[in-house]
Amino acid sequence: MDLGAVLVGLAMLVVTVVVLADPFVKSSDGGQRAYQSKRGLSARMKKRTGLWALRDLDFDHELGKVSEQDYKVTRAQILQETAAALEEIEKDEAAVEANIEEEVRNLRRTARESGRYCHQCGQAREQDDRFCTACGVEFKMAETLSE
Amino acid sequence: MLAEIGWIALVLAFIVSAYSTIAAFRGGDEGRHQLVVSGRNGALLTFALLTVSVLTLTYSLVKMDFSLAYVADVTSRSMSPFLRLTALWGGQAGSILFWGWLMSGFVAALVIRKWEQNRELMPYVLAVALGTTVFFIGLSLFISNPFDRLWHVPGAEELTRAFFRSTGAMPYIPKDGQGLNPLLRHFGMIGHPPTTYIGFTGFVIPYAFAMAALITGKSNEDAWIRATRRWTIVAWSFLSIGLVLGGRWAYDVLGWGGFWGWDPVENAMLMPWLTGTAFLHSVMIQEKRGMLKIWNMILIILTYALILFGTFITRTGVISSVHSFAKSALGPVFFAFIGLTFIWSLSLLFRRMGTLRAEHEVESLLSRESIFLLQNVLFLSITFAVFWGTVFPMISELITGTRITVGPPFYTRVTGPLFAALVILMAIAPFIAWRKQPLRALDSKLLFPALGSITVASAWWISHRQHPDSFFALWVVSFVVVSILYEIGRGVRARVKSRGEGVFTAIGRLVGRDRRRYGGYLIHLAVIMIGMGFIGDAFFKVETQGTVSVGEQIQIEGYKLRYDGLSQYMGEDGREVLEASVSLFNGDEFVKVLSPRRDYFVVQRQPVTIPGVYSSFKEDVYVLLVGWEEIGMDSSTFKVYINPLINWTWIGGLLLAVGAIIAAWPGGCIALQRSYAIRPRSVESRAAAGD
Amino acid sequence: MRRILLGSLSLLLMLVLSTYSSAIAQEGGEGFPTDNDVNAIAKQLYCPVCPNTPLDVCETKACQDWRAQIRDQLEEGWTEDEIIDYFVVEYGERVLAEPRRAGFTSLVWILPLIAAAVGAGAAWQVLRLWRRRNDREGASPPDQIPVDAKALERIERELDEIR
Repeated sequence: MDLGAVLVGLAMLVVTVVVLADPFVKSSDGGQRAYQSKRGLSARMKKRTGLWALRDLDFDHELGKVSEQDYKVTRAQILQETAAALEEIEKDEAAVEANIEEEVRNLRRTARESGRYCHQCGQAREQDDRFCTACGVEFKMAETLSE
Repeated sequence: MLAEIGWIALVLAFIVSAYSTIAAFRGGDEGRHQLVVSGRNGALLTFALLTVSVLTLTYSLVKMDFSLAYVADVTSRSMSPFLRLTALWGGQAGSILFWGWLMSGFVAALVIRKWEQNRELMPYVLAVALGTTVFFIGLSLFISNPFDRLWHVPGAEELTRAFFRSTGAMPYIPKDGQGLNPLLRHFGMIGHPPTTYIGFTGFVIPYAFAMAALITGKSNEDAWIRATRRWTIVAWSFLSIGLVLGGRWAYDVLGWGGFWGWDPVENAMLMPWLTGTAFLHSVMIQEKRGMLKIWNMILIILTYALILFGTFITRTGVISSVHSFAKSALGPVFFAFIGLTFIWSLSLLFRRMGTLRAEHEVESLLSRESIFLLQNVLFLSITFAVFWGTVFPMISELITGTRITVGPPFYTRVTGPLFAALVILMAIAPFIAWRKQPLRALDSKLLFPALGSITVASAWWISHRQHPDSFFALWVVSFVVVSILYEIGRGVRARVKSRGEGVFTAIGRLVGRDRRRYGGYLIHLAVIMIGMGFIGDAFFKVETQGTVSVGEQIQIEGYKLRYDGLSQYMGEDGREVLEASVSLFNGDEFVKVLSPRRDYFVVQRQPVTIPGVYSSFKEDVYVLLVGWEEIGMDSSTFKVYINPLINWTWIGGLLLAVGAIIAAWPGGCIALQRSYAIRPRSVESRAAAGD
Repeated sequence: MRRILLGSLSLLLMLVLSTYSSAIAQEGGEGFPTDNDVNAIAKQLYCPVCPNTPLDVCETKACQDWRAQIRDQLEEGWTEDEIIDYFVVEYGERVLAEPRRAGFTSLVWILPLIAAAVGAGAAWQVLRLWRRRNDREGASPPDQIPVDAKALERIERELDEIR
């Protein structure tokens, strides 16, 4: 076996080891989320599948592939699921709205509370800093003095 | 140097895939995310490493590096670069590597596409799929290594094949290679083998998901079926197209006037197709009705086992066959692997049997469910007949000591009626409702297709009275065609009526909104077209043989074939070509000059008979040059076949591809679409209370 | 409606049956053992040496000789059955394209039939089981499941958009 092949082989080995070991090396705390995650479909997906299912069912019914009785029962059931999903979505949206409001309020408060953060990038700053350590923006005198 | 790199990559791929199998499994079992991710990276790496291996081998093939035993086996200087490229899968060692590479490709694609969606199943899916890949890489590495070299050991009569040099051995580099088996030196080499392999390896995905569902105990949920639906359609379509291409290839090079000979190798490929088709259909019941859960598991296990069995048969040559290009010591290992896989899968299924209770019931004996059930029984019966016919010669030899042949008459006689029954089901199934189909309502729907098809078949039959059984065959076929068109028509009409769309918009939307269903209908039509070729072959085929001097004619049906002379020349690729020139007349009208040939491969000492063919939608005129030597240059013996309807088989193959693309095309909403499920009442109340 | 359907089906059956009986005849012609006559017999035989190749298409020298032999036998007035029997005696049962329906070999025919019958029987049982379970559960369809009217209206509206 010649040297070239050995070298290429070694290179492949190194890449292999690095790629395989990568997940262990990466900060383990972040990666430790439970393996069993998101169960089932999200509400939006549920709504969409529900709508598709309704459409299919209606069409099958139109063509006589589903008996009258099945049609009623199944339709009611899918409707109910879809409605539940809708409700969830609405709740979710409302929650997001509320969250945004909350965030804005928080931000306002923090900004007002102190000049402890850079007004441009949010980096923490010392009282007597004249420039931001992260983005380099110049702090105005008023800010440096703070309240 | 390249070969060494390829070999090192193969070794690494073996180690990595073995590690990843274990890592993924343990990671899933113990809930260790990092281990699973490492296994996933390993799956991607395996594919990358095997790609390196495959590329180096391909390069060696194209560059004709005869220091490699495999290259010397399957390429020769006279072969075109194109053929040298295809030689990758032209022999055992290369094709096993190719198999492993394709499979690792599927696993990598799966990892990339499905990682986020099926988190609970994924570690086990990975473990199962990679486990199989490990086996194939292992075969490549330890038993049939494509990177082996030839060595001359002093004192030994034959050359040894090994990767490493043993003491005293001298490297042996032949001046020219053996070259591919002459039958494989054909354009079809680029089509049939890769498509078939893709079809075969693709089924690992649904299989791995099924096993993962069993391992996790999530088998009662249909997640595994929904996740693999499109993969299954893709794999199945490749397998089907592979079958059609194989038939076409046999028709072009094997020189016996047909395209399907019920040869063991063909059967080996047909069996997984049959069970796969059954699986593809019966999962629909599980999706909509939560029934047949155990059965679907059995079907996918069986399909996968049959795929391994098919590879085993083609790659080891246990059952003698015209196609067995490869014979080796691979047998026992392979057989053990198939056995273990099968037993392991079944025991897993047995353990989880309890979780797979049907959620459901039917109200009448006639329902969509019962039709599906019957269809499954038919598919399985055909599979069994084919299997039994294929292995029976071996069994007979083992038990009674007499070797027998099970030829085409057996298969056509046993499977013919079963196939006919399947086709009838194909015609009525679209009109049957789920759960309960009142007979009364069915009449009105079936009346039009039934009458329509009888009219078509009768009209046809009046002009062709000589083949009575063909009437039935044609009726069955036209029944399906009419009923599918009628079904599509009903859908269109419903849209036009209730939504006021134009006819064309309605057709477009109809198909677009439910691609799986209408792609499926298109595939049904395609299968019927393919079936037309078989019907032509079974009922209307005409053949004659005659010896004629230059200027004389052979008559068959309405055709006349005039022999114009024979020419001999050296063809490319080391073949001596003997080409006859035959003018074909339809009645008295000249149609075409046909050139049936006999290519004699000098090095391999093998003749290949290449037909001269005139094709039309109605029929093929297929002329073979079968004899000349004893008679001298001015007269020759020809065999002429009229193969009616055969072109519909190839057209059907094309349509099938189109249907498959429609059915499996990934599209935003379609991907998420889950058809409604008709749940049983017992589950409804539970669901209502629980949620 | 049903009567028309049944009527047309039985008509179809009659047509098929009536033509069956009339479609057997022909044979004869000049230069009796023609290539076609030889091939007709060779087709029913498999090459005794090559793997899985019918004798009529096999191209080896040996097979050409065998075909020549069939021609000679036909000239001598042997019947088709006699020739086939001769080949079976000479080269064993493996020359038969269609396996015999006697002795051990009959298993190859019988087993698929049994399998199909068992399959059909099992399917029937399963169907009955499905039905019986249904009978036991019985019960009338549940009442309309209540759905919020506003949501219902929104769903129907969105449904209209995707149709």
